[in-house]
Amino acid sequence: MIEIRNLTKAFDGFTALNGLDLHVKQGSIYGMVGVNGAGKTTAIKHLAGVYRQDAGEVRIDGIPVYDNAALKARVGYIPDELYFFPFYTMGMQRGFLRRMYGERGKWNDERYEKMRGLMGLDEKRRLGKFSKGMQKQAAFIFAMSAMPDVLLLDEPIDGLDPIVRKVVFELIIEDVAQRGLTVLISSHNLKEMDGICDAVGIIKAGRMGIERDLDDLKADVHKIQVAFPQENAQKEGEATCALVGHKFEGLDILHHEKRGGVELFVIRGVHDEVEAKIKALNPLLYDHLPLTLEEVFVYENLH
Amino acid sequence: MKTFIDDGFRKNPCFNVPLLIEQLKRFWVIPAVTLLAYLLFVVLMLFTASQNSWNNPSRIMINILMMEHPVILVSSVLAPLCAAASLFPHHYSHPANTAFASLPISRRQLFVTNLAAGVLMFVIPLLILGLILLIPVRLTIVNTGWNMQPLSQWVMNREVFAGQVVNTPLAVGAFFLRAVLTSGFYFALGIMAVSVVGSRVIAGMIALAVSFLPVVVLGLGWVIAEFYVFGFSHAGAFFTDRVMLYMHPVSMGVLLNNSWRGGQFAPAPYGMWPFYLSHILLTAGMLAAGYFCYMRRKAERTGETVVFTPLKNIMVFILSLAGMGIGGVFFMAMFNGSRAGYYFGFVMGFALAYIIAQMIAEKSLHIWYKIKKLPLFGGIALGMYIMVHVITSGVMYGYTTHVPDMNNVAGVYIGIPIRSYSNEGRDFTFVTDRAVIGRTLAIHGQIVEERRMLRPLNTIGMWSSTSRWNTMSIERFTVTYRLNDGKMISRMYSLPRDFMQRSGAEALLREEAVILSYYPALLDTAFTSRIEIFLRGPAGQEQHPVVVYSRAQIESLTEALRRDTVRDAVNERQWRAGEIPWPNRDNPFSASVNIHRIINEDGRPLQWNRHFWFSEPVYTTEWLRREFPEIYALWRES
Repeated sequence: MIEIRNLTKAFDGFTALNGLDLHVKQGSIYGMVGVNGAGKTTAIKHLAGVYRQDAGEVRIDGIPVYDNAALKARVGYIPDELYFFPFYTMGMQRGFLRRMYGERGKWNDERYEKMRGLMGLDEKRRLGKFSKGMQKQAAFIFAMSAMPDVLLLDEPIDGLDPIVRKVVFELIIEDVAQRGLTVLISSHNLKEMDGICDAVGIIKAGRMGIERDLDDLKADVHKIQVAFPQENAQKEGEATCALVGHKFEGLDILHHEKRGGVELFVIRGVHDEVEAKIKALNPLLYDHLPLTLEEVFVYENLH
Repeated sequence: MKTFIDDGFRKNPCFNVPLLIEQLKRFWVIPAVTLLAYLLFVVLMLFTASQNSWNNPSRIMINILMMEHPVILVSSVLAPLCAAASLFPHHYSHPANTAFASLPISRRQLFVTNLAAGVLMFVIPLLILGLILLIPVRLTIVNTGWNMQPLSQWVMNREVFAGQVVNTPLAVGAFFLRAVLTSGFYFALGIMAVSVVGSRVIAGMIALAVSFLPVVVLGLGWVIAEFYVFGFSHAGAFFTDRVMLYMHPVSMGVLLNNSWRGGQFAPAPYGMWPFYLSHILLTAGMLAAGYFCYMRRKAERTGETVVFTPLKNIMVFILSLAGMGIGGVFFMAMFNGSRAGYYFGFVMGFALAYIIAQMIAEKSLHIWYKIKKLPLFGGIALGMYIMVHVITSGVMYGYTTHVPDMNNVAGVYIGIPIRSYSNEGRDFTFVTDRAVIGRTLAIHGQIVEERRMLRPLNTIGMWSSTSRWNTMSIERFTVTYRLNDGKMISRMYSLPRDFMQRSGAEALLREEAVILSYYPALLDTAFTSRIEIFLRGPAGQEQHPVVVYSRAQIESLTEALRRDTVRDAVNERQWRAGEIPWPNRDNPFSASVNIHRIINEDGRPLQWNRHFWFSEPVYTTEWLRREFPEIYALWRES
């Protein structure tokens, strides 16, 4: 559905994207994460048709995005920095967008009214007078009412209260399930993304670091808690050193910390192999803890 | 596989109706304010003016149709520039850029739709104004005069007569088209500016500056040349004005409407189409340049002063050059025409303007890292300056000190700074009297001979006001030769009065042949079809002019006018030379005269009015007493 290949973009000598590859399947929710300045917004702006790439390909359904009006009619985009026509009320903005998208039969008034009712926004009030969160809600309503096939969200959670967030994500998931909506979310709020994303791409310095289904990603990184008997302290120390020192072939330790007698490891590798190698050291305690997306992101980026 | 070139886009790949409606809704205030200005300051004025006042409805109507009305001129510039600055917010603001770029329209659709919206914004008010102008169909001309002449030439294509309806659909249509063309010119200029600039303020400044750029460049060259070349060539001002006519619709209107430049630009010999065509082509060119730059500009450059780096350098250089010129003139004036002050001003002005220009270009006060490029920019400017210097002092120097050979001169025309100069028609003649030509060449030779003494005065005279010439006893002396091969050489010098006296220039200016060369209407009566005399006494102007049609009366009246003209001109020269006191201009019995001529030029009969005013019409009065004793008596009794 969404495909970015070898995307390169430089701004006045600074290379923001340096051969980025990204793939999003139709009907999936893709979380794009990365540290500040990694190139997330730049990548999204290419998908929204705002930026023209220096090199590489940006396609949706195999069609180049840039300056493709028909394709953009199928893409909903909520940028980080919102813009509405000055002095426009929500109703006026809706009128404009209805004409713009209605020309192609896309606008859904019923959905607009439903969402506006759920969020309690006054249609006669100027958008400029709305709070930041309300503006974000309005942007969601506009984007969702245009019935997009692709939804691009750049930091969508900022400013939304938990109730609205829940409503929004429920609607998105509903659209994904019923209409095959494809969603790409760029966010720092990894906890939220953890709950809804099917796949995740971690961008590092303008390149794709890891891109995988969320389940696969989590299956590859393990958070393990171990403790060894006190009488085997010497041995335990050796074992720990052995783990940390990568003496076990095939174990890739991303993180290690000691909390009293208990040691915490984040290890990349095949689950069974990791478990076998650690259990071979006869630990007193062996726990495989659930790993959050945030932890994966942090450890992957720190490593 | 789907291609997603849907029917809506295929149907209209250049235009988006919803956006057009929205843009008109968003910026309705621009056409509304323009229309309000038209209604309040044009229509209301027209409908409420008194028929008996000088500024009667007929005159206002003519001013409107000539586009001489200030509100129409100003709105023709401001409304389109405001539209251009308002319709492209995506050039100034990143969030707006993101919002517009992600709308389901192509860049071309966005540009063309905004273009159409802007055009409608100035066309709709003009259309309404045009329709309103058609309503008062009986607003007529109550007095004809020299200032009606341009209208007759290029709006009506003929002279306007008393009682004639002027706001015909054709004339109003011509006004509408010209007003639209003028507004379109500025809209295209605005679009070109906003396409390369990321700031409304800078775009506005650049739009206004660019329209004067050709003249500024010419002016800069002229200033430098003037400093090194002795004797200002009239061709410079002529060329500058010609550039303005072709490149600047408002200037065209001003130049044509005010025939104070000796009528050189009266449109009759050229017609209006070359100017219109030039403006249409320039408008199309600017739109094409605007479109090209619009399509090339990158979204990430939004908000930058100049979105194309090479253009940024060009802008800095041009501003630096302008600063150099202004600095040079300023410091030269400060140091009383000193050349050292001129050079000092050049350097100071260039450096200061460079710093300011860099601040504008980078939108920052911290541009000190750019100072290292100043020597490079300064070096280029110095190179250009040296080139101009070499051309003017090397190539042109010999030319400008050249006095033509007597055998090559077919005629001579000497500009006479007398009061009626400003009202003169375009049709001056050359004096072909060999004795006058010989005297003129001798005086010109003497001027060139004494140029080392005269040059400083020439420079000061160039930058001084007329009042300062009087205190400095400096006069301008203009001489134009028509050579045997048809070429013309024109020179203007600022000369001290004592030089005027001892060189014989003063005596030459009092020669009847020289004075009358400015009044061909008085020299050749073959084209005169009628002469009107408007008499004014203590009670005011007589309502019914004396109109002379018979050949015999035209001949005798022309002779009287000729003698009055020479008398007045000589009196004025005598006053300027301090020989007599200021001539009495408060005579209650004065006369205005229109000599109506029909000249066949290039196969076209052109009607031409020559206007005279005499405060003391001695010989004309005598003629009137002889030919129309009853009217004379009534006039004198009034």
